Amino acid sequence: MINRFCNISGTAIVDRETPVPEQFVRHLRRADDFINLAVSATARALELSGGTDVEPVKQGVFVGTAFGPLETNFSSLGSLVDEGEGQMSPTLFSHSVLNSAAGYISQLFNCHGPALTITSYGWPFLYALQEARQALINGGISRAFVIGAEIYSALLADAYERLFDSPPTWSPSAVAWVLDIQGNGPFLKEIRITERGALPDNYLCRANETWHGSGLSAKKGHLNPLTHAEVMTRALNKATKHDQGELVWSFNASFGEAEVSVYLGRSFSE
Amino acid sequence: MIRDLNKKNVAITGMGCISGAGIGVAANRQALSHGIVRCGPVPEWLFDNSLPYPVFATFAEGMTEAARQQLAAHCSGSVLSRMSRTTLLACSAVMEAVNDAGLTITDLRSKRVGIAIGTTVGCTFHNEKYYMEWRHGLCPDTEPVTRYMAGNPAQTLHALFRTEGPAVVVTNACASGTDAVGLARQWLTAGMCDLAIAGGADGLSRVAYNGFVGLMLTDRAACRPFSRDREGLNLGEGAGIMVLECEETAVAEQRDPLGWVRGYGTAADGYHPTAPHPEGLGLQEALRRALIDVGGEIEIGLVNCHGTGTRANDAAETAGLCKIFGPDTSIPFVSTKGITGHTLGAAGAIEAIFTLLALREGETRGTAGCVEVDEKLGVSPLPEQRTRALCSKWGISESLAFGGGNGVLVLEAARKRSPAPQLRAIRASDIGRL
Repeated sequence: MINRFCNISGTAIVDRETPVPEQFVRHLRRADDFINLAVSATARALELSGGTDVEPVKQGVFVGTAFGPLETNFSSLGSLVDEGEGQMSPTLFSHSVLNSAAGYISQLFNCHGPALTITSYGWPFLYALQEARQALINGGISRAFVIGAEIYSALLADAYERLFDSPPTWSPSAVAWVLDIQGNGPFLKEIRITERGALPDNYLCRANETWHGSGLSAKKGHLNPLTHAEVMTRALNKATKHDQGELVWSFNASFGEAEVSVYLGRSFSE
Repeated sequence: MIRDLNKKNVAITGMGCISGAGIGVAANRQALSHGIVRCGPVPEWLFDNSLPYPVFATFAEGMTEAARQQLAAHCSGSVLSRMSRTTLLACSAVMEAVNDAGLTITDLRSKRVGIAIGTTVGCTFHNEKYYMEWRHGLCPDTEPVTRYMAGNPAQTLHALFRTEGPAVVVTNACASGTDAVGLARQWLTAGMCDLAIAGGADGLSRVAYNGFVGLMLTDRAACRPFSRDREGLNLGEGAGIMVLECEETAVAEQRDPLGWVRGYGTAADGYHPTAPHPEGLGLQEALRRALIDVGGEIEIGLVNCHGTGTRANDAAETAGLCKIFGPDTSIPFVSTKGITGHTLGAAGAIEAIFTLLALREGETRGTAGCVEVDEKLGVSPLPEQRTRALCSKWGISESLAFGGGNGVLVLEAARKRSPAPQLRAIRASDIGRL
């Protein structure tokens, strides 16, 4: 049976250079980079989706991240060290929790359905996508905002360099997909993820990570927890302009394997 | 239509629990039934502290000796030696739950195992010494970074057990444990795994402790959820883990269900980064979703609330409950945080286990610490001096979180297991010989 319930109606990749949407500037005045990136990506993907309004309880947010707001975590740690016991900044602490971005997105995009944040060092965006797809199929929502966001941290980058004798290929960025229950395609057909667990260092350096499939490409050696989301997004945007049929992408690493398949809209037939 | 095709009964076949109330499900059950409150100053072995806010701590080692011995015999030593406090607590509860289900680590390796664990501090870097040295331009040993990477309990458990399947940590703040159980149930109904280890874990951390103090949400005395004089929460630590399976698998392999996860709902307030919506708007929606998910008329016998003891949470939560169940409902509403403290990412799972225990007993005690119920609350929770017989085997366990998340589980208890365990030793292969 062909699943028509997960129409990918908009996608976006943003980085620190992407300005925060004008209408949210005031609301984001206390927000950190993690939240800003996630909100900007969501706004951009929604704009490109051209989607109509959806009832708030029918909209859900699914965030996948490996490290979350790590710099804010260190800022709150610094606040404790510098200010002393009981004096930690409430704003820093409340923004250091991993679901801070999902909270802001729920508020700013009027989402009163599920708001789920998943943390995985493997393929966090794929897990978020999988849960969003499941929520759409189950009928609980008719639109899902799926976001992958990473800001990393200078502390972690320093440790990486000392552990692996080379700097990491990290730069803060966010990816967002808007999934609608119906539309003109492409459709997210299936996601399968099998994780087997690995030693911590293997997750950090993404040992033996490779990917195969239609249009997937990244800069040589450019491996980080968001790369899989970025290459899928680029391949999808490229394919929907020129190709027909089905895209099948597979990911392999020392910590597991995953497969994603997407029907392209114009060639869709039952 | 698809939802109906996928609808399967998800059975709970094992439970494990560790909290400030006790080590193991039986000890927690005893503390619950006797109203034992083990709340005290932050222990010296946990972290340096001079603030007057008490906590519910477990024990210094974090992992029980029984769990450690089992894991050492079957699992990777390099993984075992690098675990964070949160993961140690998770392992204790996981091993208890796996044993309770009558499974071994070898059994797990023959299945697709989904691991969904909720946590808050579990996936954060809280090593102050490393941070300070690095900030001063030194090159501290990277071991704390490796330990931080090993702090993801789901991935670490797969590495430890050498199992395969989906693995996520749900980081929905204080609703994480509830959402992890709900998510694992969805995996099972969608056929993504054969068995799921689901729940929550969190160790006490100096950063989280000071963060809550900074937010002025902590009480200097033992917390008093729903009480007229409540002044905040007490932090706790622990882990609650369930083994979940599709009922047909459990029955085929002769594991008795302790109960079932019958419904799950989650919804966002979309209101404020930390404060709940004053009318519990997201909670109302999560309750509606969970009850619809059950797919039929049921009589709720118990609601185990989030009930932290903060002014805002208890008011918002009971306002939401009032909208769904009405102000005059006879359903007993309780909070068990007076016994465990607020265990953050573990809370939802620990409380789901407590809900099932009460449903199986057919009775609940009132809320520890609540002597005089705040009459301004939307519904009237059961105070600590009262005990109530439950009218059904169905109950609700719910969580509210920073970021406006709300998670609700609807649970049904099975009848208590037969006291004659030898009956379970009869296997399908034996039937022909009988």
